[in-house]
Amino acid sequence: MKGRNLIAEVSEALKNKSQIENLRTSMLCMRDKRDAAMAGYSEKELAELRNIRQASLSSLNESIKMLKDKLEENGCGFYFAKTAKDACEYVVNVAKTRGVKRIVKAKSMTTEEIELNKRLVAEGFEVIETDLGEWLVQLAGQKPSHLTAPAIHLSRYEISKLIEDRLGVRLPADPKEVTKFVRAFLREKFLTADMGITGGNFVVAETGSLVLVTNEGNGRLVTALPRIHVAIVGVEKLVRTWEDALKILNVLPKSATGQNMATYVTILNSGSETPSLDGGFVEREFHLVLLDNGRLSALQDTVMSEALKCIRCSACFNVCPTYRVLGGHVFGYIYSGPTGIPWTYISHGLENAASYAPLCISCGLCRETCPIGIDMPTMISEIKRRYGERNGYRWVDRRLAGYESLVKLASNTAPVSNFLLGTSMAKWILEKLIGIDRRVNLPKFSGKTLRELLDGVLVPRAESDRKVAYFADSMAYYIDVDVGLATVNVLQKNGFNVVMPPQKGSGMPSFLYGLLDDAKKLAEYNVKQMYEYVSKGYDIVSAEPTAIYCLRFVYPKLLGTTKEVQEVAERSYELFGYLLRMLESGMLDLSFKRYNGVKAVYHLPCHSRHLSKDRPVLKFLEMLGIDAEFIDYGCCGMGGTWGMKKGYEGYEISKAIAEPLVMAISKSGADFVVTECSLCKMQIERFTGKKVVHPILLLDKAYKGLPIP
Amino acid sequence: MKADSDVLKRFISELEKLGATAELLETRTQVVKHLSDFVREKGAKMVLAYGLERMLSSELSKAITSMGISYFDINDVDRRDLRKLLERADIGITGADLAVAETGSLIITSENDAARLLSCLPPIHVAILPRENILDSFLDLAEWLRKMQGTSKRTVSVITGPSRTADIELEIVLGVHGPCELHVIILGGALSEG
Repeated sequence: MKGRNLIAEVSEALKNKSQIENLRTSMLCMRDKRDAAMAGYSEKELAELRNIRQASLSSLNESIKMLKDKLEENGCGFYFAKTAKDACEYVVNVAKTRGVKRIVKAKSMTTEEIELNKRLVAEGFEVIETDLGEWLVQLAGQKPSHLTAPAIHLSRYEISKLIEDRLGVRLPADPKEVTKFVRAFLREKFLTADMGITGGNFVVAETGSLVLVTNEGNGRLVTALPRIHVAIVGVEKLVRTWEDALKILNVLPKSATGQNMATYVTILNSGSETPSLDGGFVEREFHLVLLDNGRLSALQDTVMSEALKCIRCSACFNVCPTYRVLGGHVFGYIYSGPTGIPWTYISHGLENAASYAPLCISCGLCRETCPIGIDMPTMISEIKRRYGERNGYRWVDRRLAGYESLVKLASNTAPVSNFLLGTSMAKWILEKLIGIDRRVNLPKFSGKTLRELLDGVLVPRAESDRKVAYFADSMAYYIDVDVGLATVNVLQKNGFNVVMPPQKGSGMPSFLYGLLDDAKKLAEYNVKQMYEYVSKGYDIVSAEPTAIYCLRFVYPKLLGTTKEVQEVAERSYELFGYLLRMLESGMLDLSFKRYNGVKAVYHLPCHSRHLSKDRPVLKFLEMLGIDAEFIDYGCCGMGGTWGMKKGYEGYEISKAIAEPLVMAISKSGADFVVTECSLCKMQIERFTGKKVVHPILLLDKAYKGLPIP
Repeated sequence: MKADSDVLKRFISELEKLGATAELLETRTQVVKHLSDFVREKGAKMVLAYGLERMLSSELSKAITSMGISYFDINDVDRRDLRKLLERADIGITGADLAVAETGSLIITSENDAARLLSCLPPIHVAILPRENILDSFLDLAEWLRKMQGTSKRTVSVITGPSRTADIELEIVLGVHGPCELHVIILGGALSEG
């Protein structure tokens, strides 16, 4: 992977405890502020944003032409740069021919993408970043580690040390003092710069306007003081009308930093007159460089074109579990974070994207938080697939993706396999042969599969028209069979006819590791079997959120939206969301025991977050009288089988991700932990030592009037 | 006029959340009195103004210079001195074209960058806004922007609170490269009861 040793980078990053702590606190804070600011958006409004982005991309060619005409009419320079090199060339040429010496820049990831600074410095120009975070990163000789908070990986202490080392100025480790110093330090640079370089958040084709969003005010000075302004903007930033632009502009700061509106929005369509150093006014030259660099060919790529809808708000960074412990230098190439993986693919190629794609654990939180609903997990899995097809898949990924045959074997030989898998010799062999970390305690296999145990239980009730086809998924089928039995029992108690169609595992591990052909085969099989029942009026229910996540979101992506796939997706329900609907329509049997005085912690699995905004499990725990504390650090770090991978490929990162959750659970004084995902259960049990239960076990016990563990 | 006063209240409350201040004043005399007190309290040595109503600017000039503080209207100074004055001004006073209540934003257009720099360079920015120019929602600006950007080369600045950053450990600090303080004077009509 192009000279990158990801394992070494990860092990280095995990040693940096203060950076992990900073990132963790900052990302949680940004996530919560963002969620609060976005609360007013309805599903309908969000769908509209998605449509605007889609329509903007569809009309790109017209918009480019319109923009060019407008800008030329206004006397501005317009250049369409096919490649990064072309764009740099153009800027260098403008600077050279106009006798430029000093260049001030406002924050722009697009200029990072084309590595413009490197080129300008090589040509002898003085280039100064003016966004505080970017300036610090430039001073440190680093790359930005976050889209909207480029220096978030540095602590205040590191920053004051950095300024002392590089500039010989001693400042207290206080953001206010540093800011005051930088204001004065950079003011002089602004006043004496010949050229200003910015990116652009949008370009509005109908009036040929550049829209620039900043908070510090550097964007205003960069575009108002120097005699030349060059804006470099990715072609995907073009929108057609002001109506479209304002709707996106309205959501951008909310989703980016939780601000209702960014402090400064500068809108310009030409260079204007500026008071010059030597008196009077000069007319500023304004050049707009529209950058392709892979974007237009990505537009033809049915999977990757989705990334072009990104408005670069960075909300996906805040929730990404691996980014939150590793930071953007490891979880990135030049672009970082979840959206950075497909963006690296588009602008820097497959190899570079694949160099850190294995850090994505497919929790899907990026997709869930994205205001445009961009499906990053699918693009990332596709990148893993394209890389795997070309260079071969990793052995451990293949084994983990094909786990089902191993699980079947272990289940068939259960008492023996359970004994063997518990031995340190077996753990050593699994680590060496497969790549499963020897510290992982594998679950105990049931001697009988769920289907065998349900023999004689799934009897049809002639009188009922409530019909459910139960999708168990592997864990409930081979291991946590009690969850499967409880699910069937609770549904039957509520008058359902329950059937269990032939089925295979959901295929999530194959999807996660980019073995998409395997995932597709599983998807085809499961859809075919489920559709049999859907077409007869059955709803599909699973107690495993990941299974429903696959049926609803992953299968349509893998198989395309045929009638069968679509109907199966629409009729698939996560168990507690389904029970909540019944409760709300007064159809749920409420004759169950209450457990007043019992204390529990609830952990919300990532895939459940996608399925229901209502947090149905919490409502049921409340009804059961259980005092449930909701601890919300986001993903637990397991990522299905990912957290089982040995050492710095999985286990160590997974453990670091789980840390705050584990600490909070240990401190909580709860009797047990509740979560509806079988893999979150494994993760929480292995690191807290506390009992973790599926909520259906509690409800089942409550119907039977039995005490709970 | 109830809706009107709701919009006004919303605007003021959003501004205050941002760390800006708002003052509702009825008459020119009140504005002159308020601003000259303000300039004195801030210890300013030089005040620069642009885009104010003619009479207001000349009365302000009288009141402020009588306290021994310099006051210039950009329209009245020698163009060759402009740059120096902009770099040195302690307070910039500008008009504002429009405002948006739901975000607490000011919309200021400028025919050249001397006018634009007046709300960028000095540490304190005062904007004067007619009450009737406050729009309800941000999306209401579309038609206006299409016309403004379609027919003129005026730069449009949307200003929402004082300059800020959270680049170091997410701690919010005001006054990075733009003004540390933003004060808005809203002209005409007090808040009605209820």
